[in-house]
Amino acid sequence: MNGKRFLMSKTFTLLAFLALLILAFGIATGWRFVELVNIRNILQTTSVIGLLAVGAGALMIAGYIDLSAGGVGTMCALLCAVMLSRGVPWYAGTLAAVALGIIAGLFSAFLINKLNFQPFIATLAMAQVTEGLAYLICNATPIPVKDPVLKFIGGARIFTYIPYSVLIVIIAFVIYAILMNKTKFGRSVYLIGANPEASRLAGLNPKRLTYILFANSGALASIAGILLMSRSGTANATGITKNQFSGITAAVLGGISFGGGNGGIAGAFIGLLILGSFNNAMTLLGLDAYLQTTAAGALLIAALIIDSLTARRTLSGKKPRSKAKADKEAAQ
Amino acid sequence: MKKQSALTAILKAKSLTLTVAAAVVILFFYIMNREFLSGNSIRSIMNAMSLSGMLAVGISILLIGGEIDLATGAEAMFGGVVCAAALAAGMPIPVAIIAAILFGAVAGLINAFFVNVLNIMSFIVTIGMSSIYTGLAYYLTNAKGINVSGAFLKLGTTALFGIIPTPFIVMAVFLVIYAFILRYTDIGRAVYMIGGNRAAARLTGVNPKRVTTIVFVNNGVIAAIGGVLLTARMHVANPGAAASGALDAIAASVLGGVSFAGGAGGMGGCFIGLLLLNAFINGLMAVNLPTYFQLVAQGALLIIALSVEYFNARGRQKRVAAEARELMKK
Repeated sequence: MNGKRFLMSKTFTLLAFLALLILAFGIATGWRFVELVNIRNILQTTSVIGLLAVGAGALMIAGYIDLSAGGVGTMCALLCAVMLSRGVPWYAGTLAAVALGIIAGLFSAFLINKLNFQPFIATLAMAQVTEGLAYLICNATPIPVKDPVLKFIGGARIFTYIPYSVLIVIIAFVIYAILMNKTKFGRSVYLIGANPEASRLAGLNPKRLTYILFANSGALASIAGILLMSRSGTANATGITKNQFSGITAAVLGGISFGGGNGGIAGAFIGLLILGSFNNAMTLLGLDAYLQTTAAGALLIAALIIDSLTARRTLSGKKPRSKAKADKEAAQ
Repeated sequence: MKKQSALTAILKAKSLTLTVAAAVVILFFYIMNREFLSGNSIRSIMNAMSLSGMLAVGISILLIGGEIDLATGAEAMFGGVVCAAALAAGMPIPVAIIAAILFGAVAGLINAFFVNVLNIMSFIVTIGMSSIYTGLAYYLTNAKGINVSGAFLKLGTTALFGIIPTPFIVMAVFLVIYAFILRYTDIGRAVYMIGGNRAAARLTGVNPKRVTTIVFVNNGVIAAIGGVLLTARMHVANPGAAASGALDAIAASVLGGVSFAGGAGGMGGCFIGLLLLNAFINGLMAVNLPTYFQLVAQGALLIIALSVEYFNARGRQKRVAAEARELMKK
């Protein structure tokens, strides 16, 4: 019960922060920020990041990280676009792309599980490889996407108002929130993140779970890439690479800390809204496009600082997580 | 003392394998394309080695100390921008270079602050810093970069005997100096200690946070000098430069035997790692593979380097275990 109340209060803090942010941006933009059209814009542009945030969030709860989501998603979307341009139906193209995303995720997990790579460096190398492959797939030229179904999913709206892409993301968040909070699978993810050694002793298989979570991250990245491609009508080698770390930023902003074992998917959703509002307000306020790169980095660091100050435990990576946990428990 | 000599023996054996690998790579590309060992091609390999080499010196030391700086490429690029901006403002060359070095030192201090004071993992916070520098550089230079001219260019474009570029010589000097520092000075040993076992280092009187600060500042300064040399070589401080700098430097260091777990490796292996990396990447161009294939190759090479490190470590563990079993029998 205690833990639940704590989570409630964390969620409450995040919501309060989001409300303050909306108020501040509303005032700064002369209330253009809270117009319905703009809110729809925010939701639609964050839908891509939303899928990345779900994948990154689940991984980070287990104590892992995937820096290759941007590259993987871009590569997969291009594969889909090339297949479509050769006359393959949309569902087959999408399935192939998702399969490629899963393969990429499994390969990262293989490097981590079998060859003892640190997750960040394994996925950083994979980011480089997949970005290079993306260029090779399309020969550095954009591929137009004309498939009516994908264009419909990317651009159409329910009741001319709620974009389908937003609906997809909300469904994804709901499914993953239930999966993480209410199922045995979700509990084992938390346990592995909190204490890998104990989870192994309790009969869980951390390596199997690592494969599943990285495959999941690759699949979601792939769908995110396809979503962006469907919305913009072209696939190119930049794709979602500029959102490479946005999913992680959203997850950290939403209270999922780097040590693993805490935070939740609901928090990540609020983190996503904070990130989306921030990005949108920067555009509305006329911030230079290049400075938005700087702002994105600053926001990631701000999230990390907040995480560090609130978690108040050693995250320096060299000390085992279990020790930090043990210290914390001893203090209680 | 005996233990240390065993360690050097392993390192030597590793560098031998590495040297053979580098020789094979060079021979392969030479057979594929005789132009690979022409004067121009050798010069371009040495030029490429000069930047990734400077970055690898700083990164190796960070890795040995158990940290990482993924913003090192961005720091080099921004150091170049600072230098070029100072030159454009009419400042003398030494002042401009010092300005760049100061930027590097501040960048290192910022990283160290996040890692030491806020306990944030270095890889993720330096990713954030990298975005900050990149965005700022594009904004400040209007995405066009800042051109440099005059005597400053001599730093990058001259060459000893008409073949060895000045930036390469500077890089080599840095490698030698840092090889000496790592091996023979207290601070060098302290870096190995905090990377190998932080708690034990503290017990022997080493202040891990101070050493961490030093290696981050050191890395920022070396990266900025690398950026200055790059700017002089390219005649422009380009905000898009050195984007894959961190990955190249990590790949070269790890190829050269610097362990990702910290506490092991040195500069000698690092040099051969650099040669291998850059010969390989230049070779891809010599055999006419598409430019973008380089990106794939860089990532793949990093994966291969780390895999080799893993198998080496496992082999060593098995040997130790086998020896232990022998002893038990006796």
